[in-house]
Amino acid sequence: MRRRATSLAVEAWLPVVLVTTWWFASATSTSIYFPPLRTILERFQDLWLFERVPTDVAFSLTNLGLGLGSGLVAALAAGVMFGLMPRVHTAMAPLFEFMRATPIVALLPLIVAMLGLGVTSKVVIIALGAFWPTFLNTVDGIRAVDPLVRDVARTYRLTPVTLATRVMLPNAAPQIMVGVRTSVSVAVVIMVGSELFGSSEGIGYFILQSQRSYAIADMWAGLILLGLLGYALNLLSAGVERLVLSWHEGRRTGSTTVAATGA
Amino acid sequence: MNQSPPVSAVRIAGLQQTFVVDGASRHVLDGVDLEIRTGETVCVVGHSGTGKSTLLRCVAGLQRPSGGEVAVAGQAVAGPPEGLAVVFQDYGRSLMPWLRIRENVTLPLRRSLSRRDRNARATEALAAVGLDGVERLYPWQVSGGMQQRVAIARALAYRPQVLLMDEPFASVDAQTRSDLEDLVVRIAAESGLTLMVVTHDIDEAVYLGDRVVVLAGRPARIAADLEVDLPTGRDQLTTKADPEFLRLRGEVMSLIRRETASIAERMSA
Amino acid sequence: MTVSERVVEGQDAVSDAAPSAPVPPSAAGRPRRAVPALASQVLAVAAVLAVWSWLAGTDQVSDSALAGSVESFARLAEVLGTTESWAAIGHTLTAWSISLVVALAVAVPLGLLLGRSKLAYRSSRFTVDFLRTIPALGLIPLAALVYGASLEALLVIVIPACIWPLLLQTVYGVRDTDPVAVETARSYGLGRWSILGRVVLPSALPYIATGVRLSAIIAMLLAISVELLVLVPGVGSLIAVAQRNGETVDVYAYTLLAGFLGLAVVVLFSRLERRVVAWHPSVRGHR
Repeated sequence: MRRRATSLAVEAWLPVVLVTTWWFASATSTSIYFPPLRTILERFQDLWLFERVPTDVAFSLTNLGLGLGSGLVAALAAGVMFGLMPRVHTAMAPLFEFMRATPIVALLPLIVAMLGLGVTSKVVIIALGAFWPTFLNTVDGIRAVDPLVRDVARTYRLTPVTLATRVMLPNAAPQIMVGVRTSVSVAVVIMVGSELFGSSEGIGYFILQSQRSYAIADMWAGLILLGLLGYALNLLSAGVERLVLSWHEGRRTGSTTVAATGA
Repeated sequence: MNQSPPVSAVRIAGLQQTFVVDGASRHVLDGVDLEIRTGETVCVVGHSGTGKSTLLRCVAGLQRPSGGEVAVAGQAVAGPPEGLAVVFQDYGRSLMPWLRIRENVTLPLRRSLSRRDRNARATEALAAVGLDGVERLYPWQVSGGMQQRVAIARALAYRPQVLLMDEPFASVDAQTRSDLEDLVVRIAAESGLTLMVVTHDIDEAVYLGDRVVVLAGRPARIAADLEVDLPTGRDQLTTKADPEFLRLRGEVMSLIRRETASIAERMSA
Repeated sequence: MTVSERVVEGQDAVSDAAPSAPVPPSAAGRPRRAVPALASQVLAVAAVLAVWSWLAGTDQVSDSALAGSVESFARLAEVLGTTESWAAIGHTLTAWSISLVVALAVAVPLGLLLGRSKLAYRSSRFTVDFLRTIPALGLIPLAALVYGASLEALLVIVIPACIWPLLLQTVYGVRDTDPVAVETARSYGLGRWSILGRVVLPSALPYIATGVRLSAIIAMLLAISVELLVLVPGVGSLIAVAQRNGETVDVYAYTLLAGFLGLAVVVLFSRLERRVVAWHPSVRGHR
């Protein structure tokens, strides 16, 4: 018990000190840019608990969910496909490199020109941003599958679906998860970017609108919400990673050798 | 003896295999002919690096030969044939670490069977190799010998006509090894499987086989094809002390030695 | 952005004869060649450009939304002859390099500290995790409010985003230092700073190199994004301005330019990383 309390204290003192400092340093602030934290938190409570949740928050999260979901599914499917066709992948590699290196936000004008300012363009660009990290890591992971595992799969004539879902994807899972976690953080950034570039809804739009109308405490409240959202999503993807890779972790640490008696 | 011509489970004729390594070509197999009758256990023995595994891979359809023909159950091999299973040496890599032992065994059955039938077969196959109560464990949670038993159970649950084993016991300790040899002898006798075992261990080859095929030379050919005239009920102690066992063992050993010596001679010449 | 350039040739048989590719005896010594990689790549690029050009030619998408590939590349060549675009490239590269240098100066010493001190690491863990997950572009309104459409506004957004990967990589690298090496150094009487400089830092170098590559890419992607969204002078703002003026071909040309800038950073820093990792045989980069 005491050890846990100590450990908690070690982890928590810095955030507590930082927030406290912010609280007192800003308490009497008259700067237009840096309102008192107290005011910000009051606005946070008014805005996000839960008045604007059905509008801005729901809008952002729906786009994020749809974009991230479709981007990840497409990335996994395409990643397995290209991973199994090394020659085709080699041919396409320069194009993939170029796409990965292109700032996705820079494609906003093109995508808006094609699909308008509505939800579709936002979902599409989030999906596009989420696609590349997971796709490239999936291809790499699939290509690195042990040749012996491939031999086993071939001799037992596994169906393509079994091959993909039971052999290739799990084998590549550690690397795929690295990509997925990057995809999640990229998707959040692009979600915000898409709402700053011509939008009439969403958390990003709300922050921008508050700034334009000099509701600075509201802007800060929106920023805090974004921070919490980013942190929550990171926790979520870390949790998914642990779940997906539980076998990997167990094998790596070797902590669960149960039946190590003779054969 | 059967009056009708014996059905050959595996027929290899004039097999040639050449590899290109770093631009230089290497002739590995030169005109290998081999016929394995249904229900027979044939052990292919030879030095490591003679092309035993290459031969097995050609039969398994994992590798296309440069020349010659391979047929399994009368069908020319173009890819991994139906009704054929392989047990690889490296159990650590051939079992999927993310699947529980039962799922590993049922993996090849997903094409044809319902979940219930798959699980029933897995239980049966695991019991046949002497494993009970490990279905829900992961392969890396059990010992090496048990992992190789799981790999054998996976092959059995697949109910192949032909089972190939590539140095199946080279990575386990001596005691486990003789246990597993006895397991294979028992399975071969009970199931009527056609078995082709590749090994570098001469004792093992003679102990397991109805026939021992010696692969030797560079490029390798079949140097001898010996019938093993030992009683079917084999036993680690009595069989390995049998004069016939010792005679065969000596013959195979001298064959391999002779080939090695002649290669060394040619190399130094 | 996770980047990895591993080349694994699939399907090589692992057998006791260690073959690479089976060939018929007649063709022995003359290995059968697949379509050479370069030719297939050129072909793939050409095919994509052709499809793009065909799409632009049909009436599927309106002309104001989709410019042809030939036009776009021609315009790119054209704008590369103007001082305006070179000035923009200069602005972008300036912002990018300042971000990267500042991030290096902050993240590496901080990473050494957090990597060497368990207390410091655990104390800062939550704070670092929280701060690094704030979506960088969300700071745009605040930065624009305080600094306007200026380089400072851009740096305030880009620098923190570049610090995080470098910091984490440095911490990983330091924590991965062989304790035996540190003990050995200590037993020879090396001081705290010598150990840091001669044992810990060199051993963490491959990790830091990976961090530098990640940060360099993030800096370029974010710099262009901020330029576009806030109209800070640079390649990104050229895209935004072209779009506002309805010059579709220009939008495509400048977007291509942005892509090539990103590609240059990726290629350059991947090489750099490989050098460092190759030069350093004992450790492999943490991807």
